Amino acid sequence: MLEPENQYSAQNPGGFYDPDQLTNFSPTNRSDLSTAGGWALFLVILSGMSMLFSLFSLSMLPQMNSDEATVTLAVTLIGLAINGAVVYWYIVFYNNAKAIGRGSNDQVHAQKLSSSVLATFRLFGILMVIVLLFYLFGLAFAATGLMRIF
Amino acid sequence: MLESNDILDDGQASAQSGFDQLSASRFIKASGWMTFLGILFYILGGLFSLGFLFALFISGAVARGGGEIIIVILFFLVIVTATFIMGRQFQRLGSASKALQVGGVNRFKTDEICAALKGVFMTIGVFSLVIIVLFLLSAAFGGIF
Repeated sequence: MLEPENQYSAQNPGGFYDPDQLTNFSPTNRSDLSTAGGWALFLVILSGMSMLFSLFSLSMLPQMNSDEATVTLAVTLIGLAINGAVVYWYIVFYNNAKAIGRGSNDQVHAQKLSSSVLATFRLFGILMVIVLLFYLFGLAFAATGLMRIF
Repeated sequence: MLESNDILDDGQASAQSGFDQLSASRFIKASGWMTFLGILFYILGGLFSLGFLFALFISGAVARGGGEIIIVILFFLVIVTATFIMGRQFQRLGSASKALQVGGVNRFKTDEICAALKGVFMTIGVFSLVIIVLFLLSAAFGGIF
């Protein structure tokens, strides 16, 4: 096993040893992150498939009237944009988690990994808030409709 | 009694940590969202359970009995369990990230964050798989659902 200094030199030929720029993950940490990266790749595939299904839904547009087509197009484009952002951050996570898992001591990988974690969970959180708001609005409209009926 | 984290002095803690201060600050920023997602999944799991029990007894499905009801119960048990596990994993990652605010990064917090990250991504993956399998099963046995 190489010393950190020699590992850094092997990975960065010509570079100088800067202890502040090195990580010190244990083998268990590396294994955990590598596994997490593997699952992230699986999620990339799933999200990619759902993006393809969204694109297929666009093929139904000619059979819809203009109002339905506008709503379907808007929802599909928003879905594609969100899915695209999620896929991007999953790929960033995958790349850096796998790099750390392979034994890289470069601190940049850990920094990119943390930024992908922050972006992914912030995106999930904001999405959930939006979904909850839509749900509450739906409930409010349903309640109003029920009040009209009774 | 001191926790094992407290025994490390600053020099040891920084020398043994995997993440630097920049990464730690990002994890701390993300911890609020993680905890929020964890609590949300706990609430969703609770609502699923209550809604399921309500639907089961109000609809009279239990009184009718039969083989279908067992499949429906299994279906909802899987969904509810998966939702609670998701909540637990998100909340665990949120707690581990939030812990970085006190005393900075050290070996033990790095271990916990890496394990929690593995848990979260694995749970999201397994949850997605479960949903796909249930969707395929319900499509195959459409008459039941």
